[in-house]
Amino acid sequence: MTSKRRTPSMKPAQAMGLALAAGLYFAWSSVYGSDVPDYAVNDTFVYDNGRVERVVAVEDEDIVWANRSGRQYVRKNSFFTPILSWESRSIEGERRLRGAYALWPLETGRSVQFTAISSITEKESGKKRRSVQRWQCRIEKPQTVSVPAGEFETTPIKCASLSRSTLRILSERTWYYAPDVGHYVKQRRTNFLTGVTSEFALAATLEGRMANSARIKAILNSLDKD
Amino acid sequence: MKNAFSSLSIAGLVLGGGMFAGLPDGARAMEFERDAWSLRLDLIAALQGAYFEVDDGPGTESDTDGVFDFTARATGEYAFENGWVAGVRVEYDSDFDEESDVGGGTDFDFVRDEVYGYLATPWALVEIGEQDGPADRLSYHAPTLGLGQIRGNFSRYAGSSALLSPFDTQDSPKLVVTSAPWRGLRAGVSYGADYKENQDEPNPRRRTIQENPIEIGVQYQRAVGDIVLGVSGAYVTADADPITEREDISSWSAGGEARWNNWRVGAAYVDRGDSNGRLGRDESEVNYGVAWDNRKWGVAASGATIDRSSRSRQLAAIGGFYRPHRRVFLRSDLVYSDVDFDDGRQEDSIVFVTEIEFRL
Repeated sequence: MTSKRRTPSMKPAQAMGLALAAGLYFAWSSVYGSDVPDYAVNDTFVYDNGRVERVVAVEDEDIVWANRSGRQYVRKNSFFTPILSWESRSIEGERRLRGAYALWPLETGRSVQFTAISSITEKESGKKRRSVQRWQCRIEKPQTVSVPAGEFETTPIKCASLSRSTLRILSERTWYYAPDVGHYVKQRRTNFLTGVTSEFALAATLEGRMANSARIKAILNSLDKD
Repeated sequence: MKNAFSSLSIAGLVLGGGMFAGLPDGARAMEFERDAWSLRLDLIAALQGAYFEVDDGPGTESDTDGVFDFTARATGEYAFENGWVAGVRVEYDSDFDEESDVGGGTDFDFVRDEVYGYLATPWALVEIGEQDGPADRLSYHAPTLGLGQIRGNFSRYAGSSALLSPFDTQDSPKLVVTSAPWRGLRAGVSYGADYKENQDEPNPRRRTIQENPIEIGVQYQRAVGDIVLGVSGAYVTADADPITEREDISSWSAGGEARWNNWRVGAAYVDRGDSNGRLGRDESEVNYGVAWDNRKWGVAASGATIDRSSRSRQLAAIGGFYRPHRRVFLRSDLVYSDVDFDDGRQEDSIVFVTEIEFRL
């Protein structure tokens, strides 16, 4: 009597589930690549112009940030893309991005053009309005950048903002992304209408318990003194 | 004084100005947004005065003059869910156009200036209607703050203005397609209906009829360090109706501009050739200028050298603006013009023109 060896087999539903998971993984990899920032709650970035960006929640690839005054906003982990939802005293807004995440993985010369469509609601009246922003982004050659927080190898991501109606270039922003930091260490902005350029750079990073309000305040005070 | 520069106009302007200036500085009274729709209305009233002197050799004449201007502009837009934007823009204003007024007059007319519709997509802007073409829109040249300086309102009173960019078909009906920037490079092309001026003129030689007008414009702009640099090129062509005995349009220009920290420096070379002229015009122009503008106030200086077959002309201007309120502009220009004719005659003029403008 010969014994029959049972070969491992999967039910069709299991196979489909595995295939779906693999597909999602490869889709994720192809879109974001391996160098996508990996944020954790309480990661805090303090810039020399007083800007503070603190992670308060991570929901899949949606990152909930808080600024210096504690106001929260949501952005994908592509820091160069416009925020996806925000709220102020008088309005709340939501934004959809079409085609914004194709820059990952960050390879020199890679470019993307995307449109941000916002729906803004006035809290008091409930009136809604739709706004459109047009962006063109491109990965520049790697650069070594010196900022108050140190010297970093960076990948510059240059994005031009276009007029929604005339398509003329209104401004250009460059984010200098440092993989070692997992965030941008400098942002430079040029207004194409006036020729005025401004920039700010990373002064300090904090994480975990170190990212408490007392320490953030101390860093900001030391920046004010400088 | 022109008849339009009447006491009624002044009274209206003062009354309107008081009303405009009474609005809060940040008010956006004439912008309406609801869902995907937006509508912006601009009502602009201006009172302009000028002092000018003309020295044509035998003697010098001086005079003062003034004009009341009014512009009404409406822009309506619809933003589609995919981010495309469709819009319509209509502009009516009091017209002063030497070439369109029979006999080079300076009549006050309230006429349609621009009417066009557009569709903006991520890849291109498509416009159809009566508006400027890409040769005008994409060209860099001398900056012209104030009242237009070398291409400004001074020519209402004495002398004629510089071209700045190719001789074109102005606001004649056309279809314009302009690309979105690609690494800073934009290109546009237009094709339009016949370009016509002075059609009521009984003498066909005083009319302008240019058929099959095509305009092409190319512009490249990028930031280099702290400076925003731009270069441009433009070409315009059209076929003259033989009845006018004028030449075809064939005009081009090349220009450049640099912007840095509210400063702007620009220059262009314009070859008009014989475009729309008679008896061999062969005109070329070099214009240049520098400006500083922080949106609250600005000053500029510009100049042009214009050579044509029978004369050469120099224009020099300084001017500026001050904005004491979001809805109020004060503008002034001082323009000197020197025309040297081949037969030795000379004609100099100097124009000081100033204006207060109210916007609602």
